[in-house]
Amino acid sequence: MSDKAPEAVAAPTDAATAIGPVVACGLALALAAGAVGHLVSEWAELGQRVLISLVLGLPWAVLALQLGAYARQRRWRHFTIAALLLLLALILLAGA
Amino acid sequence: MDWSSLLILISIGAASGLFGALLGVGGGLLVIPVLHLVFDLPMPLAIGTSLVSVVLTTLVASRSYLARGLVDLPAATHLAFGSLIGAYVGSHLIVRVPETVLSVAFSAVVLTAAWRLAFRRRRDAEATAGAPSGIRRRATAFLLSPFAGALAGLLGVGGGFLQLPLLRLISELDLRQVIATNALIVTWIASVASAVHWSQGHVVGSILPPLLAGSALGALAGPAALMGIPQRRVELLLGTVLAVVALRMLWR
Repeated sequence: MSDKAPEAVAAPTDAATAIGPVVACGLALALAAGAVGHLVSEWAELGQRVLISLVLGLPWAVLALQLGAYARQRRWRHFTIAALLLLLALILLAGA
Repeated sequence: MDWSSLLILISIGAASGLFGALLGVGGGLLVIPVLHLVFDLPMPLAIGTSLVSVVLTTLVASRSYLARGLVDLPAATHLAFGSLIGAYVGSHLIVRVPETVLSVAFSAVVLTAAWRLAFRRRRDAEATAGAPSGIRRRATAFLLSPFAGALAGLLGVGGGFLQLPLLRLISELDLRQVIATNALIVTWIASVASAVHWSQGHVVGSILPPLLAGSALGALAGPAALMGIPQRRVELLLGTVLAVVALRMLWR
């Protein structure tokens, strides 16, 4: 890590450009669902569920996008570690 | 929900987003006391609800940091393993800890955060100068990361400012890059902790839409709104607010 820090920090720009729109769209959708749930009482529970699910899922979408970037760059060591982290997160989220 | 509650939630969300985007701290530190003291939520519910807003605030900040190439993703993924497990365990522990203990522990963490903000520069310089090296540094960081995650899961705060020194142990990033990388780790930790709290019924869904809308606004507009104000002043302001909040919670 420390010996490769400059490369690691500068490298994932292609994933970062994809992450921006994904996060923006996801958050817009989540807030819209929350707003609908807040305004229409019949949809309150569904709106809140969609809001929370999207907000909690987006951080892992960021990691999944980065995983794709690592695969394209053939950086298999980083890919493996990121994939294992994503797997751990999915196990913990499912176990919650 | 009445208009005053709505305004308070949007405002506190915006304040947490604003400070979070600028300083890398402040999400749970500000939101939890307001939910507990103003809205009378029990501590577990205040912590669980606040953690969802922390996910959003740090995610918006991370998006901007990633676009600027400030995040060291390999360092973030390495350190996140222990932190995620810690957050999962810590979140489950909350039902076993009495509320008074939670309040006192939370106040202690908030006071520590206030102290760090007030004396941040000197302490960071000292930490860097005295750091051990090589394998020992990494081992220390990996062994301590579950505790940072557990504290975040249990109290809803602390993940951020405890991970910062750990990141400095395993990488040679500058302070800006450490704050950026830390934001992404906190997003992941808060996501897992929130999921556990949600499953335990500790997330109050009706509060979230205005709180998250405020957080998103604050995190997006924060850096521009505070442009021109010296960062040191913002740190001292937040440090003072946090010290008052912690003492108020201890008094209660």
